[in-house]
Amino acid sequence: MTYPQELFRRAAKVLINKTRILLCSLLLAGCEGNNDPSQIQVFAASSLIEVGTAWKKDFESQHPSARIIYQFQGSQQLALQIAEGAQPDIFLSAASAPMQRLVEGNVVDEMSVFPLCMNRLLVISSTQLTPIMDDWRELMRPGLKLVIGVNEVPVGQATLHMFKAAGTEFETKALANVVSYEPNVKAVLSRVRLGEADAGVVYQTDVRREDATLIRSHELPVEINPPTTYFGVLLPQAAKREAVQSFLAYVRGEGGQKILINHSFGVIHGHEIPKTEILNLKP
Amino acid sequence: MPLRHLLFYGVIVAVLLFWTTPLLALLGRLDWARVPELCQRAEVQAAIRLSLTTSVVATVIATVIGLPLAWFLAERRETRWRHCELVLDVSMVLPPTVVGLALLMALGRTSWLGQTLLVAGWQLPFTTAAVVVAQIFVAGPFLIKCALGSFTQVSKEMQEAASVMGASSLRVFFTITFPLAWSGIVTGILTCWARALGEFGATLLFAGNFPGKTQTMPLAIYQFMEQDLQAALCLSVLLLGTACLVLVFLREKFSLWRRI
Repeated sequence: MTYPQELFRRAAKVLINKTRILLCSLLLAGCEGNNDPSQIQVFAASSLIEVGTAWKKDFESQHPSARIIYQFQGSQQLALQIAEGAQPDIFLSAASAPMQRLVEGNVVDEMSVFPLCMNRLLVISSTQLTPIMDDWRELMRPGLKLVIGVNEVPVGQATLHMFKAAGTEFETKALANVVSYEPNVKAVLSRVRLGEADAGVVYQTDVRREDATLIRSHELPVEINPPTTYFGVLLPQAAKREAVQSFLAYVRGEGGQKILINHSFGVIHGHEIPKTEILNLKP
Repeated sequence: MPLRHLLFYGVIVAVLLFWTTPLLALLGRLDWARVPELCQRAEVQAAIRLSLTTSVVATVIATVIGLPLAWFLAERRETRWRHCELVLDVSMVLPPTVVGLALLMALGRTSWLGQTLLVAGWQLPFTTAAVVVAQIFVAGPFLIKCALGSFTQVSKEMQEAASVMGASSLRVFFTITFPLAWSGIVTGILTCWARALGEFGATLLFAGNFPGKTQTMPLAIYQFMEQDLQAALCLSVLLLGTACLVLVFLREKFSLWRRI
């Protein structure tokens, strides 16, 4: 045998002997998506970060053995990953298009898709902008640095529809002010919070109380700002798992819906919530 | 061939496949019939044009500011100045998103420097200039390190002999040091250009994403891949091809394998 081969043989022997157990567990860990029955993997739109964290806290306190693991990204990015083989247990999308894509690709069953909650757009502006912005129509102001979501992300799509609904003049002037198309809504929010951009279009649920010194909100008229529906789905390979089903029941039930309302989302059906609290959106 | 020889070669091939398979997958999943039509699209062309211009400009600027620095540091490798190389090493290994954030903090609108520039009428974020700045920050150290290595290898005796015979510092540099370090410098320039071409994280964070102004090829790939996978694959294959061409050239012309 030549020297390198002898060396290789000896090294392999030592490695395998010393790390037998480690190797076994690595091999096992590499198999299958989700071995741990009480671990729930959720792919969720980035606008659900705060709600998702609150759900996790609440659910895990009621079910000590459960562990929820989130991946927050733009819905279209998550849909791409699922289409290419990622296997979360639940997918929560901020719009119908990413969900539609999975239905058409036969990755999920259309029957298991359900509406999750509702949201509306909101115009925000930086408090460092001078002169301060008073009204959403000032998005037309020449020289304003506007940041919106990229066309493929739900918030970006909704923004472009809103621009169109507001009239050609508004649309052209606002689009001329756009300086960057961000990949998700939180990136838009952080640009305005940092003061790098003058204004942005996000969801009404994205603005937190702590940001009051950095951000001003400007409501949009209802005619051009219809509510957008979030959709959720239980992926086929997770359908039989009890932990996942109980989490989904929680999210769609009283506990989960209350948290949605607290974070300014609109709820779809309030069969477990008094009728007065059904739609949290202003008429 | 005995089994153990075969096994050994098998392991080596498997390791090589780890790097080769994803690259081949790019080529394999691209719909080559659609390439001409994809390359005609405005966003694709804008991304290619922008990537080429910014990376070339960034490389030129990096060369102009980097070579004097590399020479300066090479001359002083035995002194305390050698610790300055740490800054360059750190800039090279820092994750691009950290670089983007750092540039934003230093040169953004709300930073002290940023506000000074604002007074002069310049604002960096969201401009093509910001793309160039990000690329210089990330790719420049490659050039400087390569050049520094080459300058150090130039024989000190030759330089001293020339100055003893009356040549000025500048003359020694241009007639002796520079020509002898030439292949290392070219390696550095090409590596810098290739790295600038592939810059993504810092550009997205610092310069933003706007077709034609700040959307370079990597950013375009990131945006297209959800809705239009083929366009993203087309751009990826273009970048892959460029990288291969640059590296083949470097390896054959400048014996890169002997240098690294």
